[in-house]
Order: sequence, then structure tokens, then C-alpha cells
Amino acid sequence: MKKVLHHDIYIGGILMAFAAFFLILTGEFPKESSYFPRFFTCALILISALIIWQGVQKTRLLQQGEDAESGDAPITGRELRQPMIGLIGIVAYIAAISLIGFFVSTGLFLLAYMWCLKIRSIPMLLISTLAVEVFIYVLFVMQLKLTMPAGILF
Amino acid sequence: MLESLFASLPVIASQLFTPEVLFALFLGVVGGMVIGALPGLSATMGIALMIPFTYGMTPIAAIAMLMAIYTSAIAGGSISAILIHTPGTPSSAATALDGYPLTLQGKGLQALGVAMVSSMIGGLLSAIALLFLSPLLASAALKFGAPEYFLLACFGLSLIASLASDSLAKGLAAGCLGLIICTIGIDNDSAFPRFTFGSLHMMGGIPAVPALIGLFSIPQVLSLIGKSIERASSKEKMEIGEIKGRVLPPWSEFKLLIPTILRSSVLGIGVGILPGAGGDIGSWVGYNEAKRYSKHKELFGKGSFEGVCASEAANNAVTGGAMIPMLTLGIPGSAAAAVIMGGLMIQGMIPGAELFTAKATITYTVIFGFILANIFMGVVGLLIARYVVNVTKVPPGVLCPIIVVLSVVGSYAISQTMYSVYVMIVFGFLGYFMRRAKFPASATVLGMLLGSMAETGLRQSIVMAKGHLVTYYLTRPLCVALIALILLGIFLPVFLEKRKQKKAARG
Repeated sequence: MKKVLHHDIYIGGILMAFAAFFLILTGEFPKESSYFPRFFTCALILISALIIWQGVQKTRLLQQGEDAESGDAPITGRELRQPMIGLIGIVAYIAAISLIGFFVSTGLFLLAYMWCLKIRSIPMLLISTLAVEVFIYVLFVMQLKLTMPAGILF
Repeated sequence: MLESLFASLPVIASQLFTPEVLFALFLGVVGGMVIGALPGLSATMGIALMIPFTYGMTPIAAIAMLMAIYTSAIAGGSISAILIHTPGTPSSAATALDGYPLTLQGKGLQALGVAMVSSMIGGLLSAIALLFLSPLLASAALKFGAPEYFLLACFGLSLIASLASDSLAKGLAAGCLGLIICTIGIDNDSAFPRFTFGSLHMMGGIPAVPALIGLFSIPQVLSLIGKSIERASSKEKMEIGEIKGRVLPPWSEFKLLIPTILRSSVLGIGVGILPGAGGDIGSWVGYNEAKRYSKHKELFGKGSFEGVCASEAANNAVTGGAMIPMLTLGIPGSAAAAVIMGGLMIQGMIPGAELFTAKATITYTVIFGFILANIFMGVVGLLIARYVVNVTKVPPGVLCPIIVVLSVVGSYAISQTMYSVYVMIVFGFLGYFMRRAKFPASATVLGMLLGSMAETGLRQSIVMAKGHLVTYYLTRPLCVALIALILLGIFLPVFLEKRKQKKAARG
């Protein structure tokens, strides 16, 4: 049987590593600036240890064939696939803003994202995209006098 | 402080009844109702997304609009709960239990009417409580010194950590994470850059609003993506219950609901004042109590107007209650109140006693605006609720990218740098995993917002204690009371849970 570790073990480990790294950095701080972050990084290390321990117990329950606490089943890679693809799309959009400008990248992002989310109605695609672009232009550029990122195209 | 309220009533009226404030309130009420009616979009997310729209407004219009969105989104959640059996916000889950059966019985419109009127009364009573309780609490806050403020921040965090999470450890970890994030940037006292990794942007710290937008909007989008694809593939059409007949039950029936509405409103205000216990907890408390006192317990879950009004009055009463500790002590009573606190700070209004002294006129005008928003909400809700339900037909596939774009432009607008957008997406990523692993994002937000108050309080008390910190704290009566409250806040839920488990094992 494939051994499945409960996600609390990974998350507790990541939190502990994060807190330990930040605790090491506090060593360079002046004494009075270090009290507060040092106290809470130490607290986070202890709490992370508790989360890992709880994760180990949940894993044991899983291996014994018992259900983990209701609604606390381990997160699987399959469940994360679509949201992570969605996140990559958002990151690509943000990266594109600096390259090709806000309005061009926003238009492309809206069309591509809606298409990927199975919106196939051409009028809906075009009207939604145009409405959002005009709304942002009127409110943020014309009213709030914001300069949106231009990129290489403008 | 209350004297200043009565003395400045004419000024308040002249500041409140301006086209800008009235338009902002109207926009907040309608926008909030639409956001609330859309399943998957929460009031907190709606407020976070709308903060950037307030930059060009006066503080009164801006804060009144955010508060109007809050109360209206909570009421809007009942529309989809009653008509399509899908709560628009988690606060309306209890409403769906009785609201949808009423729709199936052909009384959907009456249920909507009862929900709107109950929401209006609950919200209105909570706004009145906010008006009269806040100055009293603010007067008490004047007696607080640095040690009390440190403990107050710890109290807020301990409560939200224990109330907002299934696991106390996860709640506390999320709170600690927020407190550590809050220390990023130049230290105010020593001017030493902490955790900045040589980045000039990070020296200014982590901007709170982009972090809030990321924590509440992006996880929502990522969760909706899966549902959106499923819904598109299944070709399933959303069934909206039939809406016909009169908007409100006859007066002879409605007057029987008034005691339930009043009881739930008082309970909701109480729950709202507790940090961390939001509208969802409030509505369940109101619903359960209504069932306990009802002469027709058998109707609950099968279509009881009492169930609908109890849940709706309580969840809207939470909104004003949650503002009381936020405005007076800087401790938000709910995640949405924490986001409003971010909007308040952007307008240069720092929560605390100062809001009721130096800035009393602005604060009281905002509170009167909140009263007005609740009345608007009731009237507008009765008129448009039956049409608002149609927004649930908008496919999530259209909503998701629009929310992303609004999150990006809203974060960018704060400082006109892409740094804020990067902060937003990093927090969005963090927020998604926190949500999946059941870490309460609200505890992290509270840590970020209360962190500097806690640190300043701690550092000042270290200096004042002259090397005897523990003795110093234990010789101040207010500190002892706060320490007792913190211990109670952390251990009482654990004790109650253990007792519940023991009872269940026995029974």
C-alpha cells in the first residue's frame, strides 16, 4: 500500500524551517529590535512541532485504515492540479504586465482565462473583456489619475 | 465622549447628507448585496476588493461604503440561500435550512422579505449599539497603558486563534506568522532593517491591503476554478426557486417573529464583539436559541419563518458588534472588520480612543452612515432581492478572471508599483494553502494588524518595568484581568471541546 503522509507533517515542517531561518536572522539585529521577532519565531517553532506531531497521529490513523478526522483528509496532488494551473496563469499574467503593458495583458488574460474555464460564448468573452477594460480605464486612469504599467508596446 | 456626539449632531448631519456620501452608501448597499448573493464570494473578499475604489473618496464616504458593503453582503447571502439553497456567504448557511423549504412551499418571496427586514433590524440595532457602546469602551481604553495594549493585542490574537480554527495549534501558528510578517521592514525605534534581504521595497514593510486582497481573493478564485470547470462540463442549469406572492407575511404573523428578531439581534451583537467570532457563528447561535425558545420546534428545518429571521437578524447584528472593539481598541471582531480596519488606516484613521476624541465628528458621521446603510439595505433589499438572485447565473468562469484583474489593479493602485502586486500574489498562494490545510487566514491578518501595537506595547513596558517585567505586569490590576482573559480565551474552548468529546463517548 502506498504510504501517505498527512499534509500537516509537510506544512508543520515548512513552518518550522521558516521560523528557524527567521530566528537565525534575528541574531544580526540590535538587542531591542530582536525581542519581539525572536519570541514569536520561537513560539512558531514550538507550535510547528505540535502540528507535525498531530500530523503523525493523523497519518497513523490513515495507515490503520481509519478515516482521519472528518473533513481533514490528506490533500492530494490531483486536487491541487487545477488550482495550481490557475495560479500559474495568474503569475504569467502579472509577469506579462511589465512586459507588454497592463491593458494589453489584461485583455489577453481575460480572454484566455475565460476560454480555459470553458466559456465558449464569443459575445460573453468580448463584452466581459471590454467592460472590465473600460471600467478600469475610466475609474483608475481617468478618475484616480493612476499611471498603469506600460511595457514595451506603449 | 457621548456629550461630544450630541453637540456635533448638526455637523454630522451636514457631513452625512452630501451627494458623495449618499451615493457611496447606495453603491455599497447594492454592490454588497450582489457580492453577497454570489455563492463563493464572501463579504470579506468584497470589502478587500473594494478598498482600492475608496482611495479618491473622503474618509467618511470611504468607510461608510465599506461598512455598507459588509452589512449588505451578509444580508445578500440570504437571497441565494433562500432561492437556490446555496448560501451566498457562510453566514447564511443557517438561513438555507428553512429558507429553501419555504421557497418550495411557494413562500420564497415572503421568506426573502422576512430575511431582509430581520437583517435590517439586526443591523440597525447593532449600529445603535456601536454608537452608544463605543464611546464608553473608548473612555475605558484611555486608562490603558503600554502593558495593557500589549496584552490586549495578545487577547485578540488568542481569541481569534481559538475561535476561528478547528485546531488551536493551527490558529496560533497562523497568528504567529502574521506577527512575524509584521516585523518585516525598518524597525521604528532603532531604524534597523529587519528581514528585508536588502530590498528597498521591503524596508517599508509588507503593505497590509495587497496582503489582505491576496489572502481573501486569490484563494477564492483558485477554489472556484475547479467548480467552474465541473459546472461547465456538467451542463447543469441552476434552478432558481419560483418567486411569487406577497413580499412580507401578514402583520398578524410577522408580529410573532419580533421577539425572535430582537433576541437574535442581541445575541448577534454579543457574538460580534468577541474577536474572531464572525457572522457564521452569530447566525448559528441565533438559530439554535430561536429553536430552543420556539413553540413550533417541529417546523425548524422544514420551513420556519422563525428560523430565517433568527439567523438573518443575528448575522447582521454581528456586523455592528464586530466594529465596536475594532474602532475603540483596534481589535477587529471579525475577518471583515479586520479588512475594514485596513481601509480605515489608509484614510489616516488609527483605531483607538483618538477616533472618539480628536476625530469624533468623522467617526460619528461614519456610524450614522452605517445606521443609514442598514435602513437603505432593508428598503433596497425588499425592492431588488428577487432580481439580484439572477446574478447567480453568471458563470464562475467569467467571475474568476475579473476578480483576479480587480485584485491586481487594486493592489497596484496603492503605491503604483508592481511590488504591491507581487505581495498580493505571494499572499494569495499562501492563503490558498492555508485554506486547504485549515489554517485561519483571519488570525494571520490580525497578527499583521495587531503586531505593531503588541511590539510597541511590549517594548515600552520592558523599559518601564526596569528589569522586573513579570512583577510589573502582575502588579497592574488591568493587566492581571487581561492575562486571565487570555488564558480563558485559549483554554476554555479546549476544555469545552474535551467535555463535549467525553459526553459524546458516554452517550
